[in-house]
Amino acid sequence: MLPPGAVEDPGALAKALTEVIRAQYGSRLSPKDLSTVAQQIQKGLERVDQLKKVNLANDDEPDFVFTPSRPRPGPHD
Amino acid sequence: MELARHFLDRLERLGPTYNAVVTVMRESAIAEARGRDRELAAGRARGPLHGIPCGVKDLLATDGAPTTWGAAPYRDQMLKGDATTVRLLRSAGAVLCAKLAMVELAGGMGYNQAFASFTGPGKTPWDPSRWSGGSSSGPGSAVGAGLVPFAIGSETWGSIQYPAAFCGVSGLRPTYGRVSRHGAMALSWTMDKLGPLARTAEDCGLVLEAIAGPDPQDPTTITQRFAAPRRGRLRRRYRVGILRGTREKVQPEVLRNFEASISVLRQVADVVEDLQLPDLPYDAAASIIIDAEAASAFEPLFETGRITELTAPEDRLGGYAGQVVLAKDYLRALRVRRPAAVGLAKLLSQVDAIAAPSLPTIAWPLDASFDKVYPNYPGGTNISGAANLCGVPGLFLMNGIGEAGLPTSLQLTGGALGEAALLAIGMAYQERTNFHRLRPPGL
Repeated sequence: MLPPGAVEDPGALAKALTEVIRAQYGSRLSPKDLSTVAQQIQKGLERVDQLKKVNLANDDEPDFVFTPSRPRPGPHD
Repeated sequence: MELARHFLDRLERLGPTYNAVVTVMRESAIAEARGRDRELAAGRARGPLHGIPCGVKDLLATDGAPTTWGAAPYRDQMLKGDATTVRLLRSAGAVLCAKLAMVELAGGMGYNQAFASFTGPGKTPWDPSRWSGGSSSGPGSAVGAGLVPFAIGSETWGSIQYPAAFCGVSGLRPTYGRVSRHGAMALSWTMDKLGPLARTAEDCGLVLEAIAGPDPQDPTTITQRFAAPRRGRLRRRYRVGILRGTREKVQPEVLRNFEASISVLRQVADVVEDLQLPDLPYDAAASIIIDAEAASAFEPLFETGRITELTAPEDRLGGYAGQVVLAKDYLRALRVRRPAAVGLAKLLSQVDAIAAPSLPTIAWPLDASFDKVYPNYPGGTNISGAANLCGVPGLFLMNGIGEAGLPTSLQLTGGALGEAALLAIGMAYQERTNFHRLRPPGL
């Protein structure tokens, strides 16, 4: 078991997502930078694992409300 | 006019000592103050903020002055029009004297040290070798040093809490949607809140009354108006709760001052011990939401490469992980938010406020890495992540002197739209104590 606050080594998904960063922004990131980014991605994925322990039903919606934009009243309204 | 000149002089003379100020608005402030004087002479008073100087965190748009977001890539940014909060302050008669310093991009890139703004590290007036807290660093230190009577800060997660605590001032994080975000830099659309820092809870209430309310330009604003509680009018006996674990892993002086605060609160409130926060991943959900929303809000910085111009080295790298948060994970965080908000609301319905130390320690040394400072005092149960995820209000009040002669602070967390009760309790506390009247050494 890791001590509190410690981060596991980047797993396969973290490494794959780091490759996405390399593809988009690699020209300005050193190998050391990418290693740091991989660790941060891993940390984020560990947070996702925490969220997955919360049971959600199909109708548990994301907590935002979208309001369709209504047309402005025209001169004949 | 005399009042405005007094504070403008202090902002210019003392602001640099604490890296508290980005722009002093002398010319426009003098013009505004002159206008307010003319109104008073004509028998027209706009209310309690009439002629009162103030400052705003430099993430609020103000016509005619740069709005830098604390970040070097935006140091010359000129935005058109005033933020709604700036407009409402002026409408209430307040005189805007300064744009105040802040942590770059409100800390959204994961800073880990005080030196994370192009204006330098924010310093607490209680000891300039210590951090002011952030990201509302300038509002905290400017109010603490008496450079302005009040200021507007913002909190996404902790950004009013920390500077209020470290600078020994009162701070109010309103309910999400209480105050329009129109014209404010977006870090996280669903978590950003604007709120006042001032000397007292009473002043925080008066400022909130001026800036709260519906705004067609921010569809998330709440329609209910806010009326600040008036001094000496306790309507009833209050109920204050304490979470299990609150007293653990805090500095001894922080604990001592917290216990003393609870003793004072018992004069006006029944205190309920051993409440339990529902076991949900509040901090994880809040982190994912902020990471994903900040990644989108600041995508141009990544696309242009100007992220490399940020001051703190860790800020130049900290946002990349947010760029690859999966959509389903962001949505899961938003879905977890609803049961979290329901659970927290149920807990908060039992009391008017949950009391805790604002922070487990005194202000941190300027040269410390945040993840390494005071490792023995990480704090016990921390309600901050839950409160910010769920958008509920918090009030922060200086409650004593801790180690090294630095302030400690009490936080009161309430249910959604529960600011009036928090402020009434805070005012009752400050009527019975003198910590809000203490001044930093030499000021």
